[in-house]
Amino acid sequence: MDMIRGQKVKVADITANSTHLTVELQINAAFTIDFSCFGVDAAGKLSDERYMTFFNQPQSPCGGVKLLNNQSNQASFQLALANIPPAIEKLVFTAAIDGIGTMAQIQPSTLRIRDGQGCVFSFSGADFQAERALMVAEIYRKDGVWRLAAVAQGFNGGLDALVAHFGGEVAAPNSASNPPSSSSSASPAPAKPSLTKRIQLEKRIEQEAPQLISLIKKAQVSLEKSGLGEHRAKVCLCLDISASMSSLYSKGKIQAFVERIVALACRFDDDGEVDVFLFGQKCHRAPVITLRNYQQYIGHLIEHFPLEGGTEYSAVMKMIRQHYLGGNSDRQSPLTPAAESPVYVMFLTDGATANRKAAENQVLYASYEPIFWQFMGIGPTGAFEFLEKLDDLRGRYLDNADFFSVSSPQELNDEQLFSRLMNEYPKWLEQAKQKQLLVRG
Amino acid sequence: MAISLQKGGNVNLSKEAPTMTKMVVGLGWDTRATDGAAFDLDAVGFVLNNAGKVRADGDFIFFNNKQNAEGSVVHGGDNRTGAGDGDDETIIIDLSKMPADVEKVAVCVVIYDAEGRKQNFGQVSRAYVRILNDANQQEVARYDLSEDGSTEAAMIFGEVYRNGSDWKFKAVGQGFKGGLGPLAGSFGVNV
Repeated sequence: MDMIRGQKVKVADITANSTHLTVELQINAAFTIDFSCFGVDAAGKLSDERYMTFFNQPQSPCGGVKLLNNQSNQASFQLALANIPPAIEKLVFTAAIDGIGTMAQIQPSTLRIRDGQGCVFSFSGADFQAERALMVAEIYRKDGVWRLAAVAQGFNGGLDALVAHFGGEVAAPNSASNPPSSSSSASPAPAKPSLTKRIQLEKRIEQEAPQLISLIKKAQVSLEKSGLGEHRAKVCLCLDISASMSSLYSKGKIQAFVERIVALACRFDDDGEVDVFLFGQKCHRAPVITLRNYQQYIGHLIEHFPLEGGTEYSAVMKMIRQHYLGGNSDRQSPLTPAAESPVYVMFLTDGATANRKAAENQVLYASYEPIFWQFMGIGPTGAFEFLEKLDDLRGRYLDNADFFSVSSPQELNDEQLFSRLMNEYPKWLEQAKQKQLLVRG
Repeated sequence: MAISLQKGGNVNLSKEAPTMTKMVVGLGWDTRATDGAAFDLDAVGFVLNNAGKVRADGDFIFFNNKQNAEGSVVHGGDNRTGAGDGDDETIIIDLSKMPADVEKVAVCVVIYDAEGRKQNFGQVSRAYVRILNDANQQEVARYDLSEDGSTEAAMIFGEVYRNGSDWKFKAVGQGFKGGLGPLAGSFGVNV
């Protein structure tokens, strides 16, 4: 059966009553097309992000939609309609241009179902003008019966507009994290999962840092084990630049560690970025680590920031609190309002701080704030008596710190490292929500 | 009680709503969410004699001729995008003012400039046409244009017709190829 735009038919009439079918999309064009299937609710919204089936999430939770054979100009979606849960009313098959171009430039293209009698819906550039993303077709329920509609309508705004149409968050322009205006009730920048940002990040990883992909997968596995598969947080690295760290830097051990932190940030943060603070005798804000600069990051860092002759924790902790929260007072009551998402600080050092009391106080005050401090000591065991004490510091609103030590960052393999980094953080998250430092959900 | 009509359905209005004197035809649809030319649906009425043709050109009721000579069929005005809740265009048929030589009123829906814009009802979201009893706002019949008229751009929804001393509504639900001009021509209008 040949279908025209606007036409609607019963799926059973095409597939000889089968609810198993494959939808094949082929868009012939000079540019790359990203194909996705959105499983939307009765209001036409993507209320469950897991029902966006695309290259980085190729199967719906119910198994009713599977992306097969995904290439730059064609894709197939294998459907088992009987599996689709009642909350999902419609499956929308979409195509979005990656890069420059409009749908007016496509050659004759098709959506095809070969099961049973099958059908072909043909369309071409003549059907469009400035659209950069299309809803090609929909399979939807009406009065309990599955139907197919040939749509071929779209959005000049491309993928962003398509996602917004389904109620998803549209990517905001990339704003550097500015300290909020000084107000004791400022909270960290909200990090609600943004669907388009997430997709863009996945693409950027593929293009700019493919060597990170397997490390990111390991991070993902570890996070999922801790129930943090969908978690979002700002990731902050706090690095010791005291002189004793010298050989660790020069031997590339810190750089190797940085890559693991970037992999974690690619799961926690839709920008895939890590904020960096340094401490020796003084404290400094360093450039952000990104997918573009992570490979040479430590090399450049050490050129720019000479190592210092001392170790002082409290100043950098104050600086970190100020940066994310707009304040670093001697807090003794919970920061309000509850924050949308937390800050995860990786605090790496090879020795104790000169002013212990000041550091203890910072951990104490920060316990009233949505920041988790993951201390990691590098060096021989026994050198971290103070940090071990820090972990057990009493009088805090809740336990906002964890500590472990390694003789070198490579002592732990990737899985072990990620697992160790998530040792106490999930528990703190729960408590922080219960005690209203963080919003629920 | 609203009856969702497929083709050929037939409702005896006098029986269904014996006190009724005025019928309201309501046409509604959603504004276009995607980019492209707006969907402009038009409700159109033809006041016909017993030969099935208009008595005069003034019996062709549409956005440029909002009522016939007797004022028994009145168009509520043009809506070019579907903006607004509820019915976006209406035609009021006042049976009490209907002269003796009128046998029926044909109610149609047409997409404006469908050929130029390459549009059909299937592309429009939630397009419907219905007919209500004005006295109590009860819906007598409804046709889902988006679903059941999907490949059409013009549709004869139904006819309100005289049957002895009764008035009946017959659902036609028939597509028409060719747009407003040919449609009007088929009812005897000089276009």
